[in-house]
Amino acid sequence: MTQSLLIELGCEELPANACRVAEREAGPTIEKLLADRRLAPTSVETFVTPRRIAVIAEGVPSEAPAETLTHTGPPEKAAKDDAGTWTKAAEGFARKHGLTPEQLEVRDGLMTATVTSPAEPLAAHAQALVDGLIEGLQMPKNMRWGTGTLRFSRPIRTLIVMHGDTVLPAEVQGVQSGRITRGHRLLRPEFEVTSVDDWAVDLGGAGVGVRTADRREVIEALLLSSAKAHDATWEDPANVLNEVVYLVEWPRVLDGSISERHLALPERVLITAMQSHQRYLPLRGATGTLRPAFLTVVNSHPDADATVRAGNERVLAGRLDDAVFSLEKDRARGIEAMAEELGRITFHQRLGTLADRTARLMALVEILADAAGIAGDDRAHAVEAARLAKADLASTLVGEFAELQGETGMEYARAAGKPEGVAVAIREQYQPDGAGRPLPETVPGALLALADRFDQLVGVVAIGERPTGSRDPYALRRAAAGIVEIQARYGLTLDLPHLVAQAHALLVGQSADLELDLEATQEIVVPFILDRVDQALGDAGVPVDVQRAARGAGSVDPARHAAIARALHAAADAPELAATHAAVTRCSRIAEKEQAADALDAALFQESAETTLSEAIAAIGPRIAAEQDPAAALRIAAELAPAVDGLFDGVMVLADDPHVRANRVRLLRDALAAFAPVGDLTQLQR
Amino acid sequence: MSTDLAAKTFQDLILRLQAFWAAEGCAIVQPYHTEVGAGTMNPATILRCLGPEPWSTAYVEPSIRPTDGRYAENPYRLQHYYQFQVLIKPSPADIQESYLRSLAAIGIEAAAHDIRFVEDNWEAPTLGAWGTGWEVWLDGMEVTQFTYFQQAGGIDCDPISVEITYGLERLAMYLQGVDSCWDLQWAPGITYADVHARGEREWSAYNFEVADVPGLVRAFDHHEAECGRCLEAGLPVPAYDQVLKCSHAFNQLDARGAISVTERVAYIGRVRALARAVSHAYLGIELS
Repeated sequence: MTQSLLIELGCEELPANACRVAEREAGPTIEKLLADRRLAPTSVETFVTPRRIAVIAEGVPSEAPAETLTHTGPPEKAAKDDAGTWTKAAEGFARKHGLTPEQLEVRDGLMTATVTSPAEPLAAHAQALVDGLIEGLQMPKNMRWGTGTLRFSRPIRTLIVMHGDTVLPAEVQGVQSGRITRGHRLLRPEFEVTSVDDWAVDLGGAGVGVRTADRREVIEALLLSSAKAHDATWEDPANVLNEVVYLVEWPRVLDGSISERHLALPERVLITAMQSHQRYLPLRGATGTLRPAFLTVVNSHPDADATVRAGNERVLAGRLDDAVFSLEKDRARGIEAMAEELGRITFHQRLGTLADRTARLMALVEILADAAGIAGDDRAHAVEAARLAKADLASTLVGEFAELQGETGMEYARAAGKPEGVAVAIREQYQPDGAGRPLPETVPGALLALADRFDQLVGVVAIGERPTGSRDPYALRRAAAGIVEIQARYGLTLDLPHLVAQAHALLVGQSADLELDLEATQEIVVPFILDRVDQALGDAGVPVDVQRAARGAGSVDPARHAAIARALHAAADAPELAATHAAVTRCSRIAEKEQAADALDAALFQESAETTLSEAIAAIGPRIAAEQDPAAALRIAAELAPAVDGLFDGVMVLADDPHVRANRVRLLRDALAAFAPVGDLTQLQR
Repeated sequence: MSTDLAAKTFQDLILRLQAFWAAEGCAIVQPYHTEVGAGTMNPATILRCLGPEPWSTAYVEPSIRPTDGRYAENPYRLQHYYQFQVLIKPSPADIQESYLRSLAAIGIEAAAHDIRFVEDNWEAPTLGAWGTGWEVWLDGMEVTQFTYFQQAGGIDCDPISVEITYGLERLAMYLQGVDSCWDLQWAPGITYADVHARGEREWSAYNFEVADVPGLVRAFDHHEAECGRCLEAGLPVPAYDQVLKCSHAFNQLDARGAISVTERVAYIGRVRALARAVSHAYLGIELS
């Protein structure tokens, strides 16, 4: 009979990031496990709360039907040798399908194996489904518990595997499947589930909203009405709700008040104190100012509201007291005093202190400004901002609220009477802080942000660290992507090997404890940054073969590489590109395999086509190389194609005379060199 | 928020937690006799979490962190404060429920509060130890660390122990409704300040201004060498005390501002190496 199948792993409180993995992967995992067992469901739905991961698969048969499959194997002729005994091929084929060679049949001259799988009850698969689900969830961090060896995000304490109203047998580290599930701790600690169809409803009655989307909807509706009661709107700049939905099973919203005394704190400080750690939502009034109140999502009984509200108010007041204390202390010290303390704070044990890093940033900012021809106030402000960039890391406020780095430095620079360009650049050094996030809006900010990223990238790579797979503890991919984005926005020219060399030399000059020399560092960092360009190009629809072709141009400036790729992509259907592509491909096929003369010798020319091509290369090659616009360069390159075709059409390149032959191959290589600045067209898939 | 059922004094809070966990089968082993930075460092936790033997213990632990001294002027930052520590091996299936009942025993009924288990994984590089778990929120305030030990001394734990660490001052401030730990009632008519304020001031002054730096450097070297001698003599438990003494000497040097950035890394590395060697010797396994 076809019925719904429920698998519920009852867990101790799961981390929010584990919940997100389960939300994404649990349903598809069960769907595939069922399909692989001839038990394909009509649909699956995933349910995740802090204390459970569940999947309901609809329309699951109680029995995997019997199935007969026919497999085709070696030809009949190859099945027996001359003596009439079975060959290895036949024996192997039969064994693969659990048969003896005698059980094989011949169809259309081929050996075939007919395999019948008997009908199997769903119950026989219950354990495999549970094991497959647990293994299939790629949790960010796993643990063991008790005496067991199983690894999972948090201990599993209850297990339901139920088909309709029947419990199917399974076990997870000593926990047998049964009907018991756990409701909200206060309302209904545990109860028996009668049938799959009752599960969600009964849990709802037990204070558990099993659908994350529903919990979020409830939370947002409650936030809206609570905010209205304060003549305000709620906001969530740090996106804490994404986590809060996995911290509550029975969401309710409470408001708490903030004393007027604390409301005098800078807005960013107030919001950070509310959002970081406590995950409260600030309220903003119609006039745009913060209201003396906050909202918090709770998981408690309404009878406890007064106590819970008072407790949360106390905690926030304590945090705000800390903020007031920190600000007073910091103001008394001032940003210059903080900057002087950076020698006592380690940046990285092998890359020195923050004072060392500051010195490198100041030098890098100057190098970048010189390369970009930036002078005057912008340059001076960037250098001054670099000097003070990390000072706020020595502040008490950032010690309490790490999220306020940059913002704090900006405010303290203003308080010290620094030019606005300096103050803003200190904040902008951390931009962009992710893909699609705001970029520095000032030139000093952009210079400092670039310097910061080059120093980090080169330093971390040079001590032998690099991202692998999903591991990128130093956020190097983000740093490299930031370089690419800022460059594009400001239209800068960046010579990556040169900049890497400068950043590396600064580290060497400070006697940093490096693993890699300059060359090895460049070999990693330069392609690493260009890979970020390719990633962005891919996102914009530029195919991989075009990215590769553009990389073949050998440009080590991210913006230039991107421009070449875009020009190639735009010209994809243009006839000139087809002709150039054909010419390059012809040259390359021969030039790759054949010996070339060291230098071209016109005296060895025997045909006019050779002279024509040689002259065309001399005339057109420098124009391709000099052309800054890659699209125009492609058009110029197309002018060279007919001369190449002329050579192939009129001349036997591989002449018998080895000197003539090597000279002609030299000519082809020269042609390829002339084409090179537009990219390695042989990479294009046509 | 205090109710008639709440622990009204600091000592009552300790007594109730001891009584509760004793009834749960824990041995109440008492604080350790040398300075530790946290209850975890008492050998009753960090050594006994190793190996296969079941072990359940609970104790109050004065935690000594010289750099946190504030001359008794800060409402809740102290160089000497108290943790209540529970360690149970193997971790029982109903440990969260037991914990919630322990809160009820000190006057915090779950039904009257918002209690949440929020992910917080623990790591102590100097001990080669880490675990997974939560910080427990009581109406938004962090009151307990709850950790399943996965590794200690660089050795995989098997079976897994669960550790529960209550921040006693915070809990007491909540129960007594006061905003400064110095105003806590320790015993009827005796405040926390009566018991500890003078010591806190003098220890802050000693740690920050007086402690003999060359003497501490020599002490570190001496205890490090002594740890090695204990290990050679096949005495890992006394060797572990030497690790604690090294760790405390390091903390005191740190408070004196006597450790440069590079030295700091080196000192931590030395303590970690000792902790690893002791843990392996304690289990009688080769140091890999």
